[in-house]
Amino acid sequence: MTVLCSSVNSPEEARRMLAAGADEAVLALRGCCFSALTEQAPEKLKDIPAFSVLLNRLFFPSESEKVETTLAALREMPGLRFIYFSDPAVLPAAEQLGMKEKLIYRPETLLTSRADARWWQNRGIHGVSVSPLLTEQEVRDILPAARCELTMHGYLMMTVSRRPLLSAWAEYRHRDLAMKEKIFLLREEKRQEHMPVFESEAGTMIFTDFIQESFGYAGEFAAADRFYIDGTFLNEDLLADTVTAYRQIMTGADAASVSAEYMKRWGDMPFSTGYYGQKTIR
Amino acid sequence: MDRKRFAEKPELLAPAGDLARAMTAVRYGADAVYLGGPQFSLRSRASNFTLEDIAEACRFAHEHGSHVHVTVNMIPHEEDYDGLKEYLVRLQDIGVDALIIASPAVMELAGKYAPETEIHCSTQMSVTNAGAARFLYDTLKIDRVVLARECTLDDVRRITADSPVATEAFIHGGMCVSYSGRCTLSNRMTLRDANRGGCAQSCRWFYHLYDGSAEISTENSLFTMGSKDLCAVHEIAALWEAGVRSFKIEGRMKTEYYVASIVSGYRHLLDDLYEHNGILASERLEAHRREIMKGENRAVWNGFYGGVRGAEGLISDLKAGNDVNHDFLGTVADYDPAAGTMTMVTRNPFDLGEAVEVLSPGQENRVFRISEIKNENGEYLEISRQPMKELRLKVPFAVRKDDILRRSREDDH
Ligand code: SF4
Repeated sequence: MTVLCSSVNSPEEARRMLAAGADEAVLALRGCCFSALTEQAPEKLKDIPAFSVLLNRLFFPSESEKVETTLAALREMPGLRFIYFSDPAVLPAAEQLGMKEKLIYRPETLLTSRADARWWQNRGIHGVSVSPLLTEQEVRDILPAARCELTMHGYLMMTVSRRPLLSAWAEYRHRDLAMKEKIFLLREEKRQEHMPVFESEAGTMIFTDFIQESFGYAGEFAAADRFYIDGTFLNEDLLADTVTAYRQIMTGADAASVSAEYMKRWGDMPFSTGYYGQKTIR
Repeated sequence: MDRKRFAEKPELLAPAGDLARAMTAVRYGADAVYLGGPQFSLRSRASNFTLEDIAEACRFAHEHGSHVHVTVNMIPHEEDYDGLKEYLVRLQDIGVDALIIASPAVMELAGKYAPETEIHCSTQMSVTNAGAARFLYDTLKIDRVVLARECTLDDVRRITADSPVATEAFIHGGMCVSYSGRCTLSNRMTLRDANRGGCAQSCRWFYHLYDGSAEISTENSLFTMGSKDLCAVHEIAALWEAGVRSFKIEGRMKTEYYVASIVSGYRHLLDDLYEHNGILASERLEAHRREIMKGENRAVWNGFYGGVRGAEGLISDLKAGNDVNHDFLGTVADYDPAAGTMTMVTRNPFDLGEAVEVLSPGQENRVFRISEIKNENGEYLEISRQPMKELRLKVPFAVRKDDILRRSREDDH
């Protein structure tokens, strides 16, 4: 049975998404995450009944202790399901604490083939989160290779820089910009679409101009271990409706009808089926 | 400063987009060159190497005591595995010294099908700590790790000290503004896959910036995020002392002139540091920097080695570069010692009376002033304006075939 999880922006939102039909809420840990706008201290998570955490930054030498203490704190929490990571150093650190099988490798763009999915799975971790750049056929091909998670819905992270790019722009242009937990938008000169961007201690993250949606694919991808909804830039009502819609489809409702109902309320948002039908070239 | 470190020279590793550039890099002092075949490599579009060319590059490099590393560093999709095993076997057979790989599954295949060839973990994996290097060594027996360009000098020191495998660090050339391998700007905007060599450099484009629905940029202050190129002349001694095994120059898309200039500049710098136990006066270091910058046409900074910074490392104003390729006047085709003349093949315009600098592998650069130009009919010329023409010039010292001629800017000295 595929697990449905949703990233959320706060413990309160976590509870609402669990009530809306998610099996797990995914939260970002303070100082440990690339992709989330809001980050939580580990102690804030302890009362959430079912949660996973994003520990998906690349860590520098001065941060190795932080990884170990964070993992040790998480070990004590009964609600913890899984830990997302992208830095290979997290794996041996988790192994030392007997937590290896809680890991899901989520390197955003780097997992694009069966052989790589299998390689990581064979390291004894729970599973892998595959790149959202795959076509529908590639997704179908990769699913049997390992316990795979698919990012079904939400804005997709497009790029991550260690540099404070928004501050750099403001500095060069002598402008004052308050950055903390704030979303800005970028529009390429020749295009109309807007891409969310934010800056944190980890650097600058830019997301797609579209919201990935996969309602019509949920049945076909039922062999996936997990469906992931990225709630980073979705408002709470939209996110709750999204979770409920996937839950309905996963429990047998007709995808087309569920999608049509959902779009009645949210259809003015920039939805797209992303790369499923669109092959990127070399 | 740990002087003992300077008893052993690190590797100077240069890029090559084709066989001619590979040979040029070796001639100008590269201890190793890295190149990609037409498949399985990022920058596949920059590659003009057939397997025969790679074999020839190996033969030439080995004859000169140098090595060849081949990039097999795309992030593979299913279809990309077709022919990969045979390719790895073939690369080993033709004497390639190392494979630069970004995917663990491909590293595993390389260990099986090219076991004699070293495996270097590509910077696409963004290794930023020794734990990651150790994990890759323990699981895949890699021989070397190319560090992420996001590492500061202190990070490099700490990783190199604790890493079970040799480290390689970039010292010069282009930088992604993002962590390598984690950018899909190009995929989204042009459907060209950056992780399979198709990047359209969308980070260098211009963007309007909004706070909600209000634009906060103006037509004259659009947002852009192209990175300046790296130039680590002032950090080289520290990287060397940290124990970094290989110093890498980026630029498989660059010209032969660029390769010769930059490799020659760093060769002289490394040799100078070696002779002086790692200690050079700041004026001397600055002279090396000026020399290297003669071949560089983009704005540079010292990357993350100088810490995590914003505006300083970005090309916020795209008019920042200046066209130094224009200084590449041509190459020597042959030298006649009796007449004291050389035949050169021209590239960019020059005039009688201009000062020319000769870059000759293994030698200090020499300057002469053009006192006589003749065309193929023996007619005297005052100017040269056509590229790829053979001209005879008087030259006051011996030169060699393939030496590079560039405009000498006296105010640079
Ligand atoms: S768009 Fe820029 S940052 Fe992204 S991969 Fe290309 S060069 Fe690198």
